[in-house]
Amino acid sequence: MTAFAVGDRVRVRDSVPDGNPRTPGYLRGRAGVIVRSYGVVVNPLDHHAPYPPLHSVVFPLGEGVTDPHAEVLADLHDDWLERAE
Amino acid sequence: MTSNDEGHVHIHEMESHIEAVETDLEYFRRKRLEPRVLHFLRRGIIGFADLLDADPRGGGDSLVGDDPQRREVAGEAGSAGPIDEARIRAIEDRLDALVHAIAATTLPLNGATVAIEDGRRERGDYDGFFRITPRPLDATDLATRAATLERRLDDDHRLVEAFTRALIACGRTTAEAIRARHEQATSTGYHNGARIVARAWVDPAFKQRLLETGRAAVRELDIPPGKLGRLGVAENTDDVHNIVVCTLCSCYPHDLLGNPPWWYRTDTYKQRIVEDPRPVMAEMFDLEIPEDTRIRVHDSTSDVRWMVLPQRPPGTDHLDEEALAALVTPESLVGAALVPSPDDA
Repeated sequence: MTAFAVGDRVRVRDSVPDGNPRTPGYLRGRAGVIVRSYGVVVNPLDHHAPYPPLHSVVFPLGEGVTDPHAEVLADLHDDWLERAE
Repeated sequence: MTSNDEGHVHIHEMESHIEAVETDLEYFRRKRLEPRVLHFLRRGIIGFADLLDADPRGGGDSLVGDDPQRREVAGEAGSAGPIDEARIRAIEDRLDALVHAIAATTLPLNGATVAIEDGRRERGDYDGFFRITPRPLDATDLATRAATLERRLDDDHRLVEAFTRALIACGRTTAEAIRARHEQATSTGYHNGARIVARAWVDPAFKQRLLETGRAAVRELDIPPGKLGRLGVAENTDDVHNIVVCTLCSCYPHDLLGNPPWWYRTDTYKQRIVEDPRPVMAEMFDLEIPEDTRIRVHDSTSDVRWMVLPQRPPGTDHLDEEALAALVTPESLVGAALVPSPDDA
C-alpha cells in the first residue's frame, strides 16, 4: 500500500527512516512532485529486505540557482516522503 | 587514446589518462574491493588466516586476471623510467583486469547472502567512520605517478587474487563459478547499450516497450536482462535533455552496460551536476544545451538504474541498425554527450 499517487506534491523527510538510508542528503527538506510510481521494487541482489513503494519525484534546483528549465529527478521510497502543500 | 599528427600522445593527454587511472583505482579499491574483504572477514565468511594462506606470492597460476606478461612489460617500463604510450596502456590494462577480477568475486556464495547494500554500509556511504582512507598522491611528475600506480596495482591484484583463492579454499564458491563470472564481467560492455539505442531508433514499438518496461524489453536483443532492480530509460528529445548521476554511490545498470565513464564516479561530478547542470555540462563535457531545452538530472537510487536514450543524429537516414549502433558512445548513454553525426566525421 502506497500513501502517494502521481501528481502529489511531497516533501522529503529530514530524518532517516529505520533500515532505509537511500535518499540523497541534499534533497532532505525539499519539495517536489511525483511523476511516476513503481510500487515495491523487488531487488534482493541490492538489499536484503524490500524497501517500501518507490516513486520518481521531480524537484526544482536548489536555492540560489536561477535556471528555470533545469530540474532533478530522484527515485524515493514512501517512508522518506510526507505530503506537501 | 587520441593522437596527434605524428601518432604520439600529447603529454597533457598522458596526464589526463594517469589522473583517470588514479581516480578509478582508488575508487575500486576503497569502494568495491576492500569493503567486500572487510565485510567477509567481519561476518566470518572467510578468516584472516585464510587470506594469508591464499597469498599468490606462495605460487600457483592466477585465477582471475593479472597477466604476468603484462606485468613484466609494465615492470620493465617502470624500471626504465620514461613515460610513454605503451606504459600508460599497460597501466590502463592492468586497471581493467583488476576491475574485472573484483567483479568476478561478486557471485552467489555457499552459506552466505551478500547484497550490494552491505558493501555500501561497510564502505561508509552512510557513516563516515567506516570510510577507507585514500592513499596520498605526493608526486607531481608523471613518471613517478606512473611508478606509484604500478606498485599499487601490484598490491591490489595481490589482494584480489588472495581473496578469490580464499573464497574457493573455504568452500564458498568454486574456480569454475569464478571463471564463469569473470567471463561475464569481461564481456559486458557499453555495446549492449549501443544496440539497445539503435533498435529504439529504428523500431518505435520497441522504444515504447523499452521506456515502459526497461529490462524486460532488452531480452528481445538477446541481452540478459540482469537483476539489479529496474532499468530506467530517459529519452532525449528536442524539448528535454536527460543526464544521469548517482550521488549516493555510483549506481549504474552495469549488469547490462558495463562500467560507466570514469568521471561518473568522481565526487566533483556528483556534487556539481545536481546543483546547476547547464553550466557544468558546458564546462566538463563541452556540451552546450540551448537555454530553452529542459535539463533533467536523474539521480539514481539503486532500485531504478537509469540510462539515457540519446537522440538519433542527423545524416543517418541511410544507416542500418548495426551502423547506427557503432555511432553510440558510452558518454551519450549517460547524457554527457550527443551521438555524433557521421556528417561531422
